[in-house]
Amino acid sequence: MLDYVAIFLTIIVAALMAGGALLLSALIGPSPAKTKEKERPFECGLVPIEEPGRRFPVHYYVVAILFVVFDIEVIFLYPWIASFDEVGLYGFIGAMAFLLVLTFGLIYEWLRGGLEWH
Amino acid sequence: MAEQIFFYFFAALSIVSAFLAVTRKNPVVSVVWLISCMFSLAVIYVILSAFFLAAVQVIVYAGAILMLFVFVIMMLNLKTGMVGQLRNLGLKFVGLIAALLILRQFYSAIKGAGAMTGLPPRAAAGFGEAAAVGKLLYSQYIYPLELMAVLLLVAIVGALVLAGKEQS
Amino acid sequence: MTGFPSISWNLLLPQIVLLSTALFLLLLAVIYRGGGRSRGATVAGAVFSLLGLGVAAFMALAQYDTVADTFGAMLRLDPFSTFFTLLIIGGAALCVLLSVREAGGLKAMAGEYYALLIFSVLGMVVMVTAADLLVIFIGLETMSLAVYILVGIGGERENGAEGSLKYFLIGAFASAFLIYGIALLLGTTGTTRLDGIASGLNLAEGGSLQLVAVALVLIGFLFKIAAVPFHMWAPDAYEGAPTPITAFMAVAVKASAFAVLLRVLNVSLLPLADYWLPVMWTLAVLTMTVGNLAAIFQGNIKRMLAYSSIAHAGYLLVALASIDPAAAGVGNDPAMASVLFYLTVYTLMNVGAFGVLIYLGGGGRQMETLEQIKGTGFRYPLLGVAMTVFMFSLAGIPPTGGFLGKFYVFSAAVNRGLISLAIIGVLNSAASAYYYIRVTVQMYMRQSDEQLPGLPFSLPLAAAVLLALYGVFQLGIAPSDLLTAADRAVLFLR
Repeated sequence: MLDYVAIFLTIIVAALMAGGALLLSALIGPSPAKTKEKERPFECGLVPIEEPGRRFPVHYYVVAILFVVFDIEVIFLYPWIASFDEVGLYGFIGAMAFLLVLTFGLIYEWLRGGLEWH
Repeated sequence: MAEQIFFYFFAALSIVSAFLAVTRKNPVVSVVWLISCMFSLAVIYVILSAFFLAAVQVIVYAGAILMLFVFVIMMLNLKTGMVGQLRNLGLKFVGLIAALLILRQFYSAIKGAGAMTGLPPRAAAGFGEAAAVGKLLYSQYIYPLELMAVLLLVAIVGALVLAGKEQS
Repeated sequence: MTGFPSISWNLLLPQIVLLSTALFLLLLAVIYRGGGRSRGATVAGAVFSLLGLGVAAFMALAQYDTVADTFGAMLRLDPFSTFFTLLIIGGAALCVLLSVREAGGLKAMAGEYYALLIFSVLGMVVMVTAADLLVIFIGLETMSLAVYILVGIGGERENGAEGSLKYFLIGAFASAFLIYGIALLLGTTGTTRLDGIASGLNLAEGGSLQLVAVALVLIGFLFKIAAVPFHMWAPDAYEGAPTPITAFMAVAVKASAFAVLLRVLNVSLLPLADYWLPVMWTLAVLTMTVGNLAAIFQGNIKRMLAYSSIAHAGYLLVALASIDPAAAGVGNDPAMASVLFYLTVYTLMNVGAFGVLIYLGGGGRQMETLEQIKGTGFRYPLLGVAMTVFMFSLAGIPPTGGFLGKFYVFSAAVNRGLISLAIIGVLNSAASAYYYIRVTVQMYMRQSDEQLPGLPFSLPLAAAVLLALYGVFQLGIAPSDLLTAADRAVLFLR
């Protein structure tokens, strides 16, 4: 627990710096009057003709899911590295089997065109 | 003592964030509260000396999963207030009663659990660190680990099939 | 925290074969990518799926009498788990036969269709051979994930996406219950091993947290068997799915969830029998009654069969409510053996009914509602007879297997003195005859409004229907072999 105090202090300092900067600029910066006109989205001086947010292509989502899957794969591999000396050959073979199945997934996805951007 | 203050602060923060996440009308604001909730949970894991789990919580949940949430919100492009149409007063009421009943049950259960003996011993030194997790994962739990690879593979196939990516 | 668990590879052979088959099917899907060769993908996918299932079944059958565990007792092989492995593989093979036409319509997704089917079979086999709640959970998730996707595959059917999304959301919710319950059990008993939990249960001091944990775990499983009040997803998912997948969900998903439920109740939760027996009693009554009442009002046959499958889960819950905790370690329990028998018969008659439905839809005309099947009995006499037999079996009319299945379940209830439960069951069964026989009535006693087209012959479909027909009669007339196997299998549950 004590080992992590430094990390925690870092987080607090970071939060204070970000929050402090915001607070200071709000306190001492010039504060123009807030009118309805100023709050509106600005588009080359014209009134916007459509909502700013648009639907995203589903491909973003596929890439995101694949990212999560491989993220989790790395999460499972990290403990193996940390205990590499202790789990020895047994752990090595286990990790290779784990990787083999997921590499197969990568190959499938690649051949299937899941990584191409059209 | 410091531990307890930390625990109560972050436990309260996680509950408040979770509550705000489900009650906000704007989905993007909900996601921000969800991040706060996930982060407080990570701190609780650290207090419980589950350090590896805390790191996973930040990397996978507060990082990757939340990114996915934002993607879905962008994809659906829900406008503020659109979610509100799905609400139904009668269902809300039933839900509230069910939630209260479950809360009551949990309260008495957890109160009773204080009297239990024979619980697993307190964590030994180095318990929740990645090396300790790896030692278990790559020996005793090797079978579930390999099954996880299969589960992740099904997820990959599913994502491609459901998105209907097909160049023909 | 013992060292490295030793591995008996031969116990793992069915799983390894299934995994290799699924991986190979994925490769096949990539090879056949592109619209023009979808027929090749369909046929090759079906052939290799059947081959893989056959080899896996052979591996399982070869060690039918083995009682052993491996991977540090994460996996347990005994006649009980092998019985269910074989039942699931058999049900899946029949569903592959039903799929050939449907998968052809999926064009380029056909390869993935079979791969996902095999992946979910792999998940089920992992579930029924597991001796640890963690492994059960991962198996259940593998199975469920694959089935969620199969429900929504293709995306051209009317309700596919709706059914898939509902099933996924509610299923994910149920998984959360299950994993939360497992976590609480680990916290209060110190283990996730099924046999360890039994000795870790200690209600005397602060056990109400353990009761909450057990309730959460059971809710997770009850969702999968669609017991009332956890059945809301079933009608939409069943209606939206491709018909072969509907059959697959009704038989294989249900069988594997019941296998796990039986094992957990008997191995881990026997000390709590006084708590869960009345719960099963109540759930059985609710599930039978709600399923049957709702089925009466359905015009769509797939939806009707979905509610009927809920009702059948109710009959099976009658058997679970009749388990005799005193029989533990003494001798066989007819209640548990009746579950195994019933699930086998149910697999056959349900696959048969869906098979006839798919066959009828082959003429390019939709055949899903009671309106649409009017007069089909005269136009297609063989299919009419087959459908009649399956409906009679589902309703529990002799000499079909469905009658004997119900007979064993209800007599187990009577044996345990649950007369009122048995009476409610029989009444429900009588009420269900109304909507089953209505299908036959529509087929034979009404005239179709239009000219019915000729149906193209399909060998795999015909084979599946004939096999189911044979099985339903075989089990109705000479059930003793299966009963002996079921009796023997449940001996290993304690």
